[in-house]
Amino acid sequence: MAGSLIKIDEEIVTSAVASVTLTGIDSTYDVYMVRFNNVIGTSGNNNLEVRVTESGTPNTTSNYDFAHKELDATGAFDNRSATNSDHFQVNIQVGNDPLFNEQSNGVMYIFNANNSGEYTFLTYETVFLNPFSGGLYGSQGGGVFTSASTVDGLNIFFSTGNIDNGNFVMYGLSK
Amino acid sequence: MAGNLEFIKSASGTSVSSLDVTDCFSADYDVYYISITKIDQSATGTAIRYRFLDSSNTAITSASYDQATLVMKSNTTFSESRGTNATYGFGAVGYGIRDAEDGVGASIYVYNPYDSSSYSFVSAQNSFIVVAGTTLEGYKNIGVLKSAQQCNGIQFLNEAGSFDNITVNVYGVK
Repeated sequence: MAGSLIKIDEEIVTSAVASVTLTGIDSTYDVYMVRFNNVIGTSGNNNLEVRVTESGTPNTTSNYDFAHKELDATGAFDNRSATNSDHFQVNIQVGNDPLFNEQSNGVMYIFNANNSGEYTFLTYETVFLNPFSGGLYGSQGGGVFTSASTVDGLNIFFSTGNIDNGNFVMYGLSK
Repeated sequence: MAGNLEFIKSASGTSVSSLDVTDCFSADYDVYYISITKIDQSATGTAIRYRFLDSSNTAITSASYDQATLVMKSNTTFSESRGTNATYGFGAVGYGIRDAEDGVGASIYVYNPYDSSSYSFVSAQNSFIVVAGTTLEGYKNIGVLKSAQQCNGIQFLNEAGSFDNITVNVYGVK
């Protein structure tokens, strides 16, 4: 069979939920991809954050390192990074007004997640509008979950409030 | 078993000022992946731009495109490019890809283009060679068309001159 993306899990949010968990990571694939689009939160000026799950439960330990370049259409770019955080922060200051299309979109790749002998690595690229001027923002970077454990999914949430809308899909990259 | 990265269409051109990839977006997908592996520009030092095509496959030329691009050069310091309210998008593909022995690899995601109630968003990464095979550059780019309308396709065009060759492949991420 030719190489392809194989859909593993999908969550479509049309009313408020605290978080979205995409599950189904196992040893079938080494690399998984998550795409999300039209994601809108209850609160504006908010951060979109990610944790890994183990046996379906988000891991809240301080084992998340990340670094990314924050692209900004109206001002100087920033470097965003953290070590020993309790989450990956893939977007900051996301807007939430659907009238102004303040939505988040992006793609993430997850590496070695189910390998209990390896850390779990993440790369991501996102694009969104902020709530202040409707300015175009985006993040491109990566992170690592510094625990060699058996990761089976991702938990996606906003730093404040709920997810009101959005499509989230996880794929395996067939070998 | 069928996959979920589904090839939609390929478009190519020779000695064309622009390339329209028509009817590549539909209600079947929210997210699209575009790969570009072949571009030769006729003019030196010119930007490659893009515009979305409306529901009649006509290029949208309103001043509604914003972009931000991290410009990474192998021979000098990185720089930033940004702009708002332009009549075209920039940064998703590259710049100054002049000679046949040079080349490009561009990876572009497009979000919600066919949704008439949504803006169309872009995130992209690319690497390419300029100046006759001596300089590697790469862009990390985001963009948006700030017009909530149905887009059926995308157009790639030059700042000046034409494409000696260009090939674009479009996939749907189901």
